[in-house]
Amino acid sequence: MSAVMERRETPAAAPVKSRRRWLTRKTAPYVFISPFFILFAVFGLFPLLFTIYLSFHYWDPSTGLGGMKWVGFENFTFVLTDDWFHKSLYNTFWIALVSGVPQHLAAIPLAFFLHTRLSRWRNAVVGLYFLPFITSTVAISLVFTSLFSRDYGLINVLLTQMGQWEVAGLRPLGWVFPTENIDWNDPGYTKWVISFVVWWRYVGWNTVLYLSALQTIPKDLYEAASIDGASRRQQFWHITVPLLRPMMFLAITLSIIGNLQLFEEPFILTGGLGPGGTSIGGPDQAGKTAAMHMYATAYIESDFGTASAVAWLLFLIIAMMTWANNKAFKEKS
Amino acid sequence: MASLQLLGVEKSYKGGASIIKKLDLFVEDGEFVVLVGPSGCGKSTLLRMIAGLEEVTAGHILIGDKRTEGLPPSERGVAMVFQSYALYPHMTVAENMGFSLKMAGLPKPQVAQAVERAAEVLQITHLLQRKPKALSGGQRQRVAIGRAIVRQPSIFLFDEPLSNLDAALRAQMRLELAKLHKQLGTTMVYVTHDQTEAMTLGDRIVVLNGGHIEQTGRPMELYERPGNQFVAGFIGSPKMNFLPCRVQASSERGATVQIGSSPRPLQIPAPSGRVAGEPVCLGVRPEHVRLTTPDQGIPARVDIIEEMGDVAVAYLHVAGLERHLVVKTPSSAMGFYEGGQVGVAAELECCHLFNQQGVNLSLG
Ligand SMILES: Nc1ncnc2c1ncn2[C@@H]1O[C@H](COP(=O)(O)OP(=O)(O)OP(=O)(O)O)[C@@H](O)[C@H]1O
Ligand SMILES: [Mg+2]
Repeated sequence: MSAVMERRETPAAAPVKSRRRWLTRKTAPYVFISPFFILFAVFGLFPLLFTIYLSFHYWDPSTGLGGMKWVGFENFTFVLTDDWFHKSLYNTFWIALVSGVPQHLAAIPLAFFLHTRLSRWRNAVVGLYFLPFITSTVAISLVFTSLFSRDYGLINVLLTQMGQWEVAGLRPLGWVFPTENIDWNDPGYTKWVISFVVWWRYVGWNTVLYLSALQTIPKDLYEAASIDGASRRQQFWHITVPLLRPMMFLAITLSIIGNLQLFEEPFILTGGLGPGGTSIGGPDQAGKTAAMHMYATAYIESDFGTASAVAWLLFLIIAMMTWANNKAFKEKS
Repeated sequence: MASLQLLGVEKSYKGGASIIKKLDLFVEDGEFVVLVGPSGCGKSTLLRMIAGLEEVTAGHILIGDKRTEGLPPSERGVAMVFQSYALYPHMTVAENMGFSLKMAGLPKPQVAQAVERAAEVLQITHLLQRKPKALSGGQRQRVAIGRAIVRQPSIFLFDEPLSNLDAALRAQMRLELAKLHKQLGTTMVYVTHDQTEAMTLGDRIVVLNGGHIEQTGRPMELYERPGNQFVAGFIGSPKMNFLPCRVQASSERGATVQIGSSPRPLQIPAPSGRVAGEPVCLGVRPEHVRLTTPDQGIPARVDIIEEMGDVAVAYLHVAGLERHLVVKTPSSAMGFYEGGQVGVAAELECCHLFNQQGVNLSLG
């Protein structure tokens, strides 16, 4: 095929060839693919390798490139023994679990419901659930900051109204709901609020993933199962869940990677960075994730070497978790 | 085991045309009934209504003497074998076959025993621990049938179960299905496109067209005495030749018709009372046409010959006819070649005359 084409095109291609000799049949593909590799090398590969290099140095960028000092593994040993790193890692895992697990527990039944019960409105409803995922984090965080505000926030208003509801001089719901405004900025609540917002934001994304997987399950399997006497619930457990496994693996992998790198939501919800460089992670740093710790180390403490070490340690942890997840899903199937 | 009764069954989809129109059918206990019909005529729909997968718009379906309205598929005592097999891909063959019993809450040893027994019948015991993706098409088909057997249904429903198999395997499975029916004696309703399956498997064939029954009868009855032109054209392969012509004369001995511009009219056995000049259609099967020398019979030219080995199918051009006349003869009787002139003679007692409405006049 190509031989035939070449022969046919030779007379026409000859003059072009003489004008730009560098763009030959052999080189053209590489020239056309090169923009990606050039951009990747500059903005992807170089920073990657540079952070490895940096993680073995002490470097304050304000001192210029000449200010780099070789310190060996000191950055790594420092980070591994640093209480702040431990705490941020603990926060990260806490939020990852509390927001991540319910994400999937909610998304799978929700997708199943959308798939089986809705037809005409399905896309509209899916769109609604997906909306938070494509909304700017700043906007989301602003909305939630005002919802969770102590004195005027809608959430406190609702909760206290329930708590203060009176029947014959008694407050029957008072032991479940608060009667006074709650200070959501209290460090004890920080992680809960962040987890809730993260959960709310990504549940739609996971629903879409699971919905797409559901749509690939042939309908006749359900028909066969219903002839075999499986109730709707049994069909869900015996047909749907096992056939969703590959997608569960993918979705959970994405959750692990995303949640362990969590930055935007906690950063903005906890008020970002105060002018004096104070509030990273809110009161008591209860909302400081590993990614925020890395950011603070680099840009507030101007210690790029240690920050690079944090980044690579975080990468190793994510890689390990993903591997464990892979193991867990492979073994049973 | 049970009989099956359809009483005035109708089906129409919301806002759509009606798919099944006032259909009555009685299937005896233990009978093997084959549903045939062109694509889109509602065969699958009918089967799915019997299984309970599709709602019945009007009419009743009785299994045994039980009304099925509102009865879920699992409580109808039917088992269905899908064209796609619909095996559960994440379960082993044994789990696939035992799924219905497991759902019914039977203890494990009993399920295993039932699966074992069905697997022996179908000779798939060595496959029990495999997943469906590690099976060939024929093996999957067996598993699908096995899954149906395990339930010990009173009626089997098959929706084109062999259509995904190659010719050799199809012939083999056809034989096994016939054997299975003998062995189990269960009522079976079988949908197919395949002439051979319909003719060989069925105790009775039901020809569907556009949602209603054209004719039902034993296979040979439909072949020899089709009630109308549709059934005549649908049963038999190659298809029956239909030659438009006019009645020249009618007597006790039959109707005389002229084929194309042939000088030799044919006398077809048909009840008298045909009017001269009446437009009719002569139906004759390719296997009932004989080739002779050009000086005998209707003169024709051989256009194309398809050699099958045992038989040859020839496409003839007859002066005055728009379409080819198809002839099927034993290969050994071949004394002709493409482009040659031949004479055509028909076995007159096997010919049919259809009127403009397609009704077979020859049946009387
Ligand atoms: N959900 C539906 N809504 C509207 N029309 C439908 C629906 N399902 C099937 N039909 C129509 O019903 C008719 C009968 O379909 P059915 O599947 O029973 O045909 P069939 O005889 O099994 O054809 P085939 O031999 O190709 O399998 C078709 O014309 C089809 O378009
Ligand atoms: Mg069909």
